[in-house]
Amino acid sequence: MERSELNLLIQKNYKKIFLLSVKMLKNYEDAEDATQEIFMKVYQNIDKFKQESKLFTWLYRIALNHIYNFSNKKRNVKNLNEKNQNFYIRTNETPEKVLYEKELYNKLNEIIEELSPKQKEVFLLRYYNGLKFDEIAKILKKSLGTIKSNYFFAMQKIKKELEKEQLLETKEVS
Amino acid sequence: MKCITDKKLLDYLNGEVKSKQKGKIARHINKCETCQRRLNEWKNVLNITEDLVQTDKDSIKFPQFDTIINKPQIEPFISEESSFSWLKYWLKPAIATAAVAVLVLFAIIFVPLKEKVSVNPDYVVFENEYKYTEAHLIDDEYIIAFEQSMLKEIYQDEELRNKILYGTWEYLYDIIDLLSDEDIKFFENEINKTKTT
Repeated sequence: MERSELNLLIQKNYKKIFLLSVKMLKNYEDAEDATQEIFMKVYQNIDKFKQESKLFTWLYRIALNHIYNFSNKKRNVKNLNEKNQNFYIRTNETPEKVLYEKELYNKLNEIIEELSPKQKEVFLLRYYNGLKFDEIAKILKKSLGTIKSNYFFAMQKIKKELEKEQLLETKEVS
Repeated sequence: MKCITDKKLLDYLNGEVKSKQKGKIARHINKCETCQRRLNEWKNVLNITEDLVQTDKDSIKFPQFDTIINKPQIEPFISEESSFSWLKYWLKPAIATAAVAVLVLFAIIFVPLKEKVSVNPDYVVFENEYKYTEAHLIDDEYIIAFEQSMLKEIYQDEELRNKILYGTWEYLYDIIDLLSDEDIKFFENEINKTKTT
């Protein structure tokens, strides 16, 4: 494994890893620290990387393990509760739509928090990291069927919550 | 065809269905209003989710790549591949082997060996005239045979017999101890005979 190849991989994926860290740890500073530590681990352990899996899969595995360890260590640390502050207000949209999206956004984050750890993992990797189901299965070392089931139950929960809040009807099907 | 399950509908929307099944599902949806409605519901859910995730992603301020990567802890890894990487690879196995070797050495040096139990042998070994080594069990039969052979030897060897009889032989008393009463009487008779003659 050449360093240049690894550097390139990290450059391509650092945003995704950071995004995953943010969503899992719910804290920007922690996410930044965790991302940094993940890359440090990757550089330190690159010699142990076996060619059995893709480097990309290996990177995600290290990231998830580290994020879990990190969150276990920092359970008591403040949550990322500045949902409203983080919400990006697009100026070219009507206030009603912004309000509506803000509502949805808050709801979504609440729902994500209510998912089981496995469902959350699959949901984040699928939607935030844009991974395919078979890639997720390889990263989490589970069967494709299990991953799809986790995804299905997560989506079912999301659907139920959106229906409960009557958020589904207002959005037109594109 | 039965109505399509929610799970299958989701797979269908995510493009996770094989082409054969895809055609079947599409045909069914065209005919079945319930499934059409459910499909639209799921489509709606997926669209909203994707929109929201996108909005969420847009709202996140990503740190610069340099700030993540150009930290003192990471820099040495990026700059150059260490020339001692082989040492790093072999260090742990080498230490483990050395530790095992030291333990074995300690065991050999400090653990006392079992003391050899000395037992008095119940046999006697001697060389015969042909230089063969013979071993005999010391039982009563052997002792009797041995004594008889010794007596025979003494009796046949005149010089030795005289030495024993006239007291110049150094092992006299040892031999006398070995002799039975009958033997002593026999010798006394012999001595008396010689005296008379």
